[in-house]
Amino acid sequence: MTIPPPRTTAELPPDPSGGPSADRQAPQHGAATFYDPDRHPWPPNAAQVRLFVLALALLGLPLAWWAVSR
Amino acid sequence: MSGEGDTDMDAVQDPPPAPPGRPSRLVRMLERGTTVMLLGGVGSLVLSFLALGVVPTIELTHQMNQSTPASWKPMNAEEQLGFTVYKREGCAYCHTTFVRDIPSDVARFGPAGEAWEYRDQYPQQWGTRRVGPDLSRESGLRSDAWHYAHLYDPRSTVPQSVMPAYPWLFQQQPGGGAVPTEEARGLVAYLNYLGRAIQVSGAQTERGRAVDGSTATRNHDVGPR
Amino acid sequence: MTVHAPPPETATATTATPVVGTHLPPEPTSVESDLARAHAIAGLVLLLGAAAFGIMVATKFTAPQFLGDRAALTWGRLRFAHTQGILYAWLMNGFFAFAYYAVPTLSGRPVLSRALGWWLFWIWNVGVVLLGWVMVLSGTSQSVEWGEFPIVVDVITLGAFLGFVAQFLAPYLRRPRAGLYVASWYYALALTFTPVAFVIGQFVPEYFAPGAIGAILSGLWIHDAVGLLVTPMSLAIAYYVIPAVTGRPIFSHFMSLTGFWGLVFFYPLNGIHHYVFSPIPMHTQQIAIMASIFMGLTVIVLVANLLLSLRGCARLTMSNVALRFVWVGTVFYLLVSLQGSFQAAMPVQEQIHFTDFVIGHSHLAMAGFATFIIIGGILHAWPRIAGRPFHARYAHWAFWVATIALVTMVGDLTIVGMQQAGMWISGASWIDSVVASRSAWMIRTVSGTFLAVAFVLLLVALLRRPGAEDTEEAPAGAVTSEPVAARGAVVSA
Repeated sequence: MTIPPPRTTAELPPDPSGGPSADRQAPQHGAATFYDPDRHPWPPNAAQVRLFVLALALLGLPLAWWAVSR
Repeated sequence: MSGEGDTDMDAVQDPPPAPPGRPSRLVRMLERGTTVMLLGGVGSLVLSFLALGVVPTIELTHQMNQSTPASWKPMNAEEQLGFTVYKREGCAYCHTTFVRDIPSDVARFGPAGEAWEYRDQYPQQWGTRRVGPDLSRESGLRSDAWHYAHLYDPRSTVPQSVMPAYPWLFQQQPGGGAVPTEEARGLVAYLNYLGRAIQVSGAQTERGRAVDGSTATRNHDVGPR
Repeated sequence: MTVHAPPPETATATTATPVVGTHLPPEPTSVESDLARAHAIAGLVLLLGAAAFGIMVATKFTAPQFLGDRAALTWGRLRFAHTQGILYAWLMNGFFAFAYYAVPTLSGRPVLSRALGWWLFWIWNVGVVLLGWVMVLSGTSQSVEWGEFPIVVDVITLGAFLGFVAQFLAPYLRRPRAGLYVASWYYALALTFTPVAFVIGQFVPEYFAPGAIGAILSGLWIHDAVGLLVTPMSLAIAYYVIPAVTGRPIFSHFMSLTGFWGLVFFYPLNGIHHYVFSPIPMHTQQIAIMASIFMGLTVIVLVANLLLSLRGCARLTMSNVALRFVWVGTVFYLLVSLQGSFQAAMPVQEQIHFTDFVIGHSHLAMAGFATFIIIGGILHAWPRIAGRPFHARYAHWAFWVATIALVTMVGDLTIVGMQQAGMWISGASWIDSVVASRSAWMIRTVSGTFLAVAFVLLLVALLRRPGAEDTEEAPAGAVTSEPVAARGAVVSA
């Protein structure tokens, strides 16, 4: 049995680049959310994300040193 | 799931807007199926097996050739049979057979394990869990009779033990009592083989000597104080 | 929930492709519903067997005479059947089920062959799982951790696995230069990495690599099975279900890339951390431990990316039980990975290794992370592959029973593990540490039984036809506001 593949924007995972489809995938419904984007400086932008990843990598160095010390 | 109204279908029909910024070449390369398969699947496999498989294998082979004492003998046929039973019944899943080179292990069990001690074990039975004690320094610690009684009914020698009994390694006698089969004899021979070599020859590497030069077997019921 | 009634056999429709921009071509594709459903049901039914073995094993800790006079039901052999059953009978069946649903959708191409799929289904479930169980219980096994099924079963497993590799890689190989969606990266990684790793882990220690050398290779395999088979197959499901339910893109493509390539680089180097303070060369152990630390940090990135993809629509996790399973599984993934990094560190490892702390860790990984995400994936796909919704009330019950049981079990094992560690170092008599563990082992048996009850509830949820009030009302993508999506969406690399 073969059934039609999902036919909605909601079904398919969106474009990984977050680019072209991102805006079109913005939901049409204006229901309440758990946070108010105007009051919280969140989500972070691309630079902040990179900084976060870099900070984790740097944090790894002392942790790795500790982990192999007897 | 079901937000799939007509609105969404309409959205699908729209021509895609121009992308805001094209991803870099590196990113496009990393997203490609071939990159993921060759660099990710094959490349990381090769790297990991070279760095953590082949290199230490060469080192260990060299080290074992240097440190194996002349008195070392591989398992004989009876011990080999016991090793087979040991593997089949999953003994290694409750009893480890390597002493770590840390003070609490050495104080409880004896000298830390050395690589050459295991050179005839296919596959190795080091284990990753200790419900019961480590057995790698078991040689000479207890009598054969104790082992047979313990294998036949562990609670007869250690009342609070949770070890399974292995009655199928014994032949029931008509008048009561049981006689160890060839497998049970092999298993006890194997337990007595564990650690014998290092008792005979003494520790051969820094590792085995590190904490305590003595190669005496210890009674692991009581650990360090 | 709207469900498309499945059209008659053989129907193949075209995808609504523009949705995924450059990544899906406008080609016909087909979801292998029958195969997906068969693997899902087989996996869940066999899971009950694997769980039953686990309960028997757990019971023997407090009642060692229980089922004790038959060789086939001795503790060691049942443990082989339990762990191998979880991997081959449950997790792999679950992964294959979701792959039959997701791979054609993601790649825009059908799998290699439906006939091959049915052969593989029977070979896997009879020739690998059932045969393997019968053989280990009757005493033919290979005492290699995570490789207990005997060599003959390993050969069948390898053959069947290569069949699955062909089945699921074919759609991608038909367009080798195409950019893939994140979930597909994980499929491609697991399917290309595992066959060779499996061969090295199963056959080399048994015949060619003795003692310490064998330990190196089987250590690598233990972690390759967890890190490069179970983990990527689970993450593929998470990366599929979360955006599919929310209708929103993954939070950050940069984090997707960092998480994936971090996993690719660090995970294969982890394996030796199972044999720390062993005769394996010390710097090999140290590399593995440092890789474990960086793996934990990579997982922070990976999980942050998945959880931030739920930003602003967290309410969906309450109404959509499939998403909730995936979400909680993702949180378990973070916890279990941080725990893994922590316990790989030498100062920690020295104390807690060999205790039940590690057993708690492995249950959090397999019964928490992987199992929860697979269940979420199957529930998400079920309306499409079965042509009707699942019974939401039973699925909700399954979620709560499974979560409470698992958290109890892992917490219990973690605590008693620390207690065992302390007693071993204190110099107490060995048997005292056994006696002191008894009540915790009893709690483990009870919580394991409840976990099995949750699996039964889940099976009922899938098989029982729901009444009108028993389906869930979980409009996807319904709980957001436009500014959120617009601001959060584009964090592209």
